[in-house]
Amino acid sequence: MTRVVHIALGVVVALIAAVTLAQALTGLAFLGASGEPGPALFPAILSGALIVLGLSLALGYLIWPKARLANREKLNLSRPEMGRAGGVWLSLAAGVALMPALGFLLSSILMLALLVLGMERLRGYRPVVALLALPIGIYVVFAVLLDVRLPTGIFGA
Amino acid sequence: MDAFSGLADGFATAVTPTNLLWLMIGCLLGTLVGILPGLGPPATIAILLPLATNLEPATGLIMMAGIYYGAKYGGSTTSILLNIPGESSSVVTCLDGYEMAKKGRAGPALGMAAIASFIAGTVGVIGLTFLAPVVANLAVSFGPPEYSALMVFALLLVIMLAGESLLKGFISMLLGLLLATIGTDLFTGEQRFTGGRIELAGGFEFIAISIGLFAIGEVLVNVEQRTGRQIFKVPSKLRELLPTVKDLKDSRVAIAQGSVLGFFIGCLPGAGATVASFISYTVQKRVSKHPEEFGKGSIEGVAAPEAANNSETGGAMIPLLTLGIPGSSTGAVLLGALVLYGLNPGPLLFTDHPEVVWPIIASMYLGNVALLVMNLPMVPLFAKLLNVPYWVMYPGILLIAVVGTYSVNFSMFDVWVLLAFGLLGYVMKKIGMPPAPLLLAFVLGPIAENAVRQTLILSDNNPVIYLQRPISATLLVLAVLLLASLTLGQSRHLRRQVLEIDD
Repeated sequence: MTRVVHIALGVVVALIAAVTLAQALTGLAFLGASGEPGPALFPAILSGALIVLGLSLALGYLIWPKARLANREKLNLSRPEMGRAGGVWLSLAAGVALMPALGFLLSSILMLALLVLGMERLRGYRPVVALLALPIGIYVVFAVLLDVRLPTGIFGA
Repeated sequence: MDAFSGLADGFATAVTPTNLLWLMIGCLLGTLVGILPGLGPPATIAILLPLATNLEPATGLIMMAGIYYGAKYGGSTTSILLNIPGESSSVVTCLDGYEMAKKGRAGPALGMAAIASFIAGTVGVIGLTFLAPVVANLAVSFGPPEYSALMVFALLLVIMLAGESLLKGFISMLLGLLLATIGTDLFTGEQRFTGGRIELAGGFEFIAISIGLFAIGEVLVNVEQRTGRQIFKVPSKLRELLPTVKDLKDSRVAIAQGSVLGFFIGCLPGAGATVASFISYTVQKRVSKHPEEFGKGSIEGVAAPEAANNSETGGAMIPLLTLGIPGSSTGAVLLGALVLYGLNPGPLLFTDHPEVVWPIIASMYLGNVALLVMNLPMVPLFAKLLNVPYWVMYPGILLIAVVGTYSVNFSMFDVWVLLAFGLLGYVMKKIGMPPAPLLLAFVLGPIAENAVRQTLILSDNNPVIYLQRPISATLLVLAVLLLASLTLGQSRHLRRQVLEIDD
């Protein structure tokens, strides 16, 4: 699995760099009107270098004898664990997606409810107090005390 | 007026009950606001500027000096406790400070940050007092070739943060450099890789990337398992919550070199605390007796960047006060404050308004003392915050990350960027690709590109100019030697690994 991941990483990096290189060469000028360095110069050099490095990484893991690589690095890629992390990220994304419509306070409370009650599966009064107190506390500090504008949504908070 | 008598007069003005009171208030407010991510020293000073400008010029500027130091220390606190770098110069502190916190040494890390900041800040102010004219000349002799050579050197030092895999470290760095090209090209005004989005005209927001990569990435790694377990060890004994004598002895060299390096790098406008803290960290890693501990919770890895970060303050004041050139975004805000008071920073400021300049310099000494006196006793309290259950802490970190990012430009786009880089940070940790080179390259990239392009314009595209100027030639030679040493070192490491496996 470690080997596959590194080969895929190398290929993805090289592909992204290739797309960037193509955009730089077709959409931007390499040199300016007076021959000075143009906006495409740096991106082109960087993309070219990334293509080389990405392919080196992929080829290195592809053709290097498996035995030599096996003991070098083992990545921890447990699906249940990555699933939990993904779930937390999706909960955060859901909260952020709701912010423009519902405002910071309400969307944060909903997001924390997803995390604390849904992901962590905690029950009792403490989790409920926490999921209310945290957003309210942060709102008071930033929006009220420091006068930092936060997304207000249709309910104004 | 010579430096000694100027400083004596400055202390006489600064050490009044009113000025001392406002200095302490400034330090306290600066620390409290600086702790909040997204609100680094420039934003903190900007927020509290209306309060300061109601005061007399000397008092107001003294208060702002207190705010500045307080905010810097506040930024270090979140770097160590939560792995949230509030500004680019705090990124390096995260590398070892947060690892120390995970091992139950948050207190010593915070204490060392305060002590190193105090010592180095004092060194920086001494340098400012006595070396201002000399160092101002050095700053002026740094042109585009010197800046670009310095940036190339600094970018190679970034690779030293790569850990075991040089290849992945280079990829991370190049990705950071490429990300930095997104936005409006400063020379031609053309949009690069923005996809027509107006939000990307200024490029990606640094705070969104840094908090995403470091804080959110770390949270996602920690939540992979149920959060009932203790993520952080928090000692209960008071003596374990402060740095030990051994910690102080181990950090002597780090503090000394950080102080000197930070001061001289801080004198260069635009180089700033990020370059200072990061060069100091990598130099310390090179000279340390235990380089293998860096990145895993080394006290020297906290002391060196914190020292550089703070002595840079004294250095950065030199171009501001003597040439009217702000060395950093904070300097720009202070410049605005000086202008608001009717003062013109420049070569004549010392002679025309000594009654304002010398109290500012004196207050920087006093600010260092105030910071140490106020914050050191609070270190055990800050460290105890880690006793908060992680199922409460991580949602709080996520919310603060969102608010901190949103508060920079009031843009939901930045928040989505935060999420995207949070996911990237998580993926990078899973595949063993270090995020620090990406972030540091993102900061240094624009400076490097602009300096190189200016140099090539100046020299009609002739790169020989680098070798014709002594400072840039020296820096490039050092860069080549460093690259050779890194490559040879990695080859030896690889050969050793292969030999071990074959055995």
